[in-house]
Amino acid sequence: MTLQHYLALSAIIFSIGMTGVLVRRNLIVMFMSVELMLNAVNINLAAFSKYLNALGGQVFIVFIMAVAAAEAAVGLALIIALFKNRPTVNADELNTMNG
Amino acid sequence: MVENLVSIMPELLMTIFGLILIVIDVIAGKNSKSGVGYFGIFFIIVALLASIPVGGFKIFGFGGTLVWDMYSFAFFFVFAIAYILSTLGSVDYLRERGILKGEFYTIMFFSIIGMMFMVSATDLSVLYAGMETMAISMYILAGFEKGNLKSNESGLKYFIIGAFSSAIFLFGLSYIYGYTGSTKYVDIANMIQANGLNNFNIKLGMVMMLAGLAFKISAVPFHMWAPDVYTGAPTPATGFMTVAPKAAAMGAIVRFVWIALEPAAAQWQLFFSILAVLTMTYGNLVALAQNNVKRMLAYSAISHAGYMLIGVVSANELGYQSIALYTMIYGFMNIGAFTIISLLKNNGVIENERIESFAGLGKKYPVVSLAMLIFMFSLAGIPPLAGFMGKFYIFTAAVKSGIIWLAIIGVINSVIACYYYMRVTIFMYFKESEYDVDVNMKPASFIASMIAALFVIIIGVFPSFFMDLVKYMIV
Repeated sequence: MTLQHYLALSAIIFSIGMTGVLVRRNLIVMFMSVELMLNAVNINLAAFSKYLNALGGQVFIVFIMAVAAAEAAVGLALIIALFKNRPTVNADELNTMNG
Repeated sequence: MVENLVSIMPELLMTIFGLILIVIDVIAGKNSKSGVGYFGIFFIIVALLASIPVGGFKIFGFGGTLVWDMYSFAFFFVFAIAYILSTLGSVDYLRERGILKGEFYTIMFFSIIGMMFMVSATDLSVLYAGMETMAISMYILAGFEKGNLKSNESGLKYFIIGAFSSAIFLFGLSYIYGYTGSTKYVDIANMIQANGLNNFNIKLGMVMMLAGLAFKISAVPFHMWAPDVYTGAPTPATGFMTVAPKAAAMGAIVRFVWIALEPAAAQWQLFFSILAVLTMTYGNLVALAQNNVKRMLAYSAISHAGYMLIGVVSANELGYQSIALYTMIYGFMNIGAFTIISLLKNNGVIENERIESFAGLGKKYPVVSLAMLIFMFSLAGIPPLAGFMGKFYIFTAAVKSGIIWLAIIGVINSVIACYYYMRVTIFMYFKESEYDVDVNMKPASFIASMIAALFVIIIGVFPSFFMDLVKYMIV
């Protein structure tokens, strides 16, 4: 497999994730789509890192995974806080401010 | 080794103080959680004094991935101001809502560490780590009032769109990494210098990365989260969120375009000048139609990001200096205004922050109204006040580097902006009150708004002193 294969794979996964965020209305699914986008970035970085023979990209992946974990903790906590006030995870019902 | 530690000394100091703050939070009794905030103020002042740079030095650390210099210090100063003012201004609001917890101050404190890393980063990985430290703290602050549906909504929207934007940022970054083989600003600049921006991948990467950064400063067309998030978050948190993260992102953008994109100046100047025009115009035009003052200030925050972008576009030293000065001034006037809004209590049927709540406030609470008047005039850019001087320096920088058309659009926009700021003062002084409105002024928030008003006047009257200070810091 060449670098192009990896880049194509990552672009496809990124597009799926982006579509998911924009189209789906379930907050948890949207959140999962964001994770998908981040993993597409990870594939990209790993492929480039191997191709360039430089370790920087792989170190960056560790950064991204750590941050994604922290983000997941905060995001799920926010969803639970919302769920206690109004039992919904539908993004379209979040319209208390007419925005 | 020692150099590495010295280069992150301020951040290290802040981290240690932040951990101490957590311990203080545990020790403090249930009714004395405001003490955490006051200790935070003390700590941040100590850290600020300890990290005063002695005479224009630059300390690179960790293989040139970050640098502590005058520029980082200037922005640390801005963050410290934002922290001090929002801490003082938040105590009474949080106590009244029953959400006075130590976490509020601790999280704010830790978010500042992330912002400091953002500004001092000279490597994309440090920039990313700092940005996420800041952003995750901001999600928590936005959703801090757990029992309030608006606050939940604000936190969640900020979270989803923030995560989405950082994914876009990262995707762009991965292409830049693939093209240049490094995440260091200097290497990126060398690569662009050697090969130009002709490759499609690097163009895509740059645009996606800058778009990700533009999300953080709520530049149009990446602004759609800002009004709802700023409206729903607890008001003191909004004051902090409109100032500090914006300043940090501006600082990071300036350092990035300054070092990494220097060989491709024309391209990114075009990108940012389009953003600046859209941001100013959209923010101001939509703010005209708002009847909720908090929401109006949210849109005004968008338009102020546009003014700051003019400083980025002008790409000369004066531009960068005036961004630092402008964020400082903006911190004083915006956090002051949000402090006063947070204390407004409408006993009628409408929301507390509706513009009708301000009717007749001038007679009932003369001092508070005068402070609000000062903030509004300053935000509008009326001459003797600080906001005017901030805009003046930014437009001067734009004229100096020959982009006069952008300065003209900026001036036109600040004229449009006068309408909605003046509207608040007209309601305060020339309308009879329809509702029973109280201003719950307690000592802490009173001090916060008075300090802010005082500095708005002082900076407005003696701008050259502060400008010299900034000029000394940013060379």
